[in-house]
Amino acid sequence: MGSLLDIIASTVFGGILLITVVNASDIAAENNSKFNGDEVVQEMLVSTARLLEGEFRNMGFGVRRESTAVLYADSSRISFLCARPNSMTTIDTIKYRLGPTSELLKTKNELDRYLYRRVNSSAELGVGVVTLFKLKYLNITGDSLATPVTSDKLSEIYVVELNLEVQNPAAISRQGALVNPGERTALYSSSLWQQTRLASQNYRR
Amino acid sequence: MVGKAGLIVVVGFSIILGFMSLNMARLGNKAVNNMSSYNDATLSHNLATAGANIVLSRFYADTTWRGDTTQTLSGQNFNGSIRYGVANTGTPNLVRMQAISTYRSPMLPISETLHDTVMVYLNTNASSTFSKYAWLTNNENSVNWTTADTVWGLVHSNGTLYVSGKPVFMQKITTSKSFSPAPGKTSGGKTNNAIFKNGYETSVPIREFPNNLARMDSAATAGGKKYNGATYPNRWVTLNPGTADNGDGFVVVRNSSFTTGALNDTIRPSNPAFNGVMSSTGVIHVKGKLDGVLSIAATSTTSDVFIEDTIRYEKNPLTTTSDDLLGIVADRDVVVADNVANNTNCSIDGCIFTRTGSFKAQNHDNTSPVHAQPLYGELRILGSIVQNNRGAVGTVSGGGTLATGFSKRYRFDDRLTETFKPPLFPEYLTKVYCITNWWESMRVPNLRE
Repeated sequence: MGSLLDIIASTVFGGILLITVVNASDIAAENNSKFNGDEVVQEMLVSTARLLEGEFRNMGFGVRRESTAVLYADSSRISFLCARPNSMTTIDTIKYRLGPTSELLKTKNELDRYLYRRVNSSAELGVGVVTLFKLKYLNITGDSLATPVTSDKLSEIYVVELNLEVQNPAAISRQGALVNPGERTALYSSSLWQQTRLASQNYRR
Repeated sequence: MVGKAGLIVVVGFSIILGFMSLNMARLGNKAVNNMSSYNDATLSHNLATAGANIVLSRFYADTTWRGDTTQTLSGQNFNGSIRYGVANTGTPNLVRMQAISTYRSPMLPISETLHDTVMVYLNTNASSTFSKYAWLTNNENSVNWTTADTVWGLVHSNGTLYVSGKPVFMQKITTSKSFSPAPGKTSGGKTNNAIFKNGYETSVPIREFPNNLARMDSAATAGGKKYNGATYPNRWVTLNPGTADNGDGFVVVRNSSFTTGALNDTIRPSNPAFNGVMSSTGVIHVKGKLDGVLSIAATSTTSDVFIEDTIRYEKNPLTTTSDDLLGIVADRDVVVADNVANNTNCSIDGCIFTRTGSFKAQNHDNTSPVHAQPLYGELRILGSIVQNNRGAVGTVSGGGTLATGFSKRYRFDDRLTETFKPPLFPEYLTKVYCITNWWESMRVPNLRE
């Protein structure tokens, strides 16, 4: 009888312990996944932001003052001229554009898309995966220029405002009861970067 | 036995959870490191930019300085050093400044030091031609740029620029003083809503007019044609294009009228022995069609140039390739004569310069004499206009409608640059070296290599 009680008690306590530990493991795994996702998002954002910031600062380098450095300017697409630092006579055309969401259907995140970069006529390279890439153009008096900027107003671009958002391609599911109508059914780590006054010094010559 | 098994399970899970906690802590650290590394990269970049400003400041204080130096900074946010210097490039008149930052964050391992570079190129041209400006004045005479005005080409005034309404400036506009009123502001019943397609800049250094036209006079004496105004106070210059062939045009100079005066010279601008400059210390009257490159200068302090009729290039640069170029220079005024030919439009292809006077239309206000038709049509300029005091070519009524004289159609000749200019055209000294290009390093692999 005593042994039976021991066994039953051990089983009960062992079971409780096991369930607790499994639960803790589950929570730890979930947090680990979230932290991992946050870290991935941060690194993606930092690398993309550094690339854009660095290139946009050099817009118009090597281009004659009388010429227009920006060839095309839209809210999610831009094309501009920039010379190479080791050869100012070679002027490259650099283009950035946002790809469609349909190109990344294999990820859980339905909003992510490639950010493409092209130099001259070479093949496009995906330089980042973002959910938001928005450009705003201001003239010398601080007024916003309507996009796409018409060809007669391209020379008025003085400052570019850049908004970038990166989200985790992988989702963390939400409990159904917590999802309100119209909201996404999963959670995605997200990070937003904004440069409100990215002005190339070559526009101030 | 169950207890032992349970214990083993617990210990096992503890170990696993321990590793997971370690991983989460590591991820947390990495997330913080991302933020701090971006901050460090920004500080390193700011240090390099500060270095560029330091070297610019030092260079402007002594434009002969070449070499480099290292400056160490220490403080809470600017902890590092900057190596900056100036060097000549292989290209004439072009110098390069470089500032390289060395930054070590207190957060980074000692082996990780950040470097950023800023390069600035400056054009050291000591003199610049006035003809590269579409419009330049010493004094605007309080004349407003208004809504009906559109200017292609560089615009500058050594005085205040007056704006009322919404004129459009297609290229950069500069003033050694300021705008009246300031852009976007209203003052004295006027509002400055000008559209600056390529920006504007105030308080720039003055473009100083030369003290005389001796340079052109000397050139005319040495390899051009110089005429004495004391002998004949007036010279009549007819530009003749020759045949349709390029380079066979000629210039006829007479001393009393275009047709009946005694022939002084027939000049061929294409003649290699002719340096392209003709001057007179008297008054010059000019008209015709030019095939070639020529500068005409009235060089005495009381001499003017009168435009007696349309002056055109044989080949119109707006529609075809053209190497024709004319400079019309006067120590006093360049005047569009009040005559029958000019009273129904007048077109002038050329770069106009008046050292002490103005570019203006004779009898622009139709007062002396009074013509039955007070409107003279359009004054079409293809070239550049540089004048001491802004002259009048017409008058407007209170409603802004042309009342007398000419309406303006001024178009900058896009061919005009620092190197493509009329022979010996007046120049100004550049006292401040101008930045031509600015480059900042990026902290990612160069994707174009």
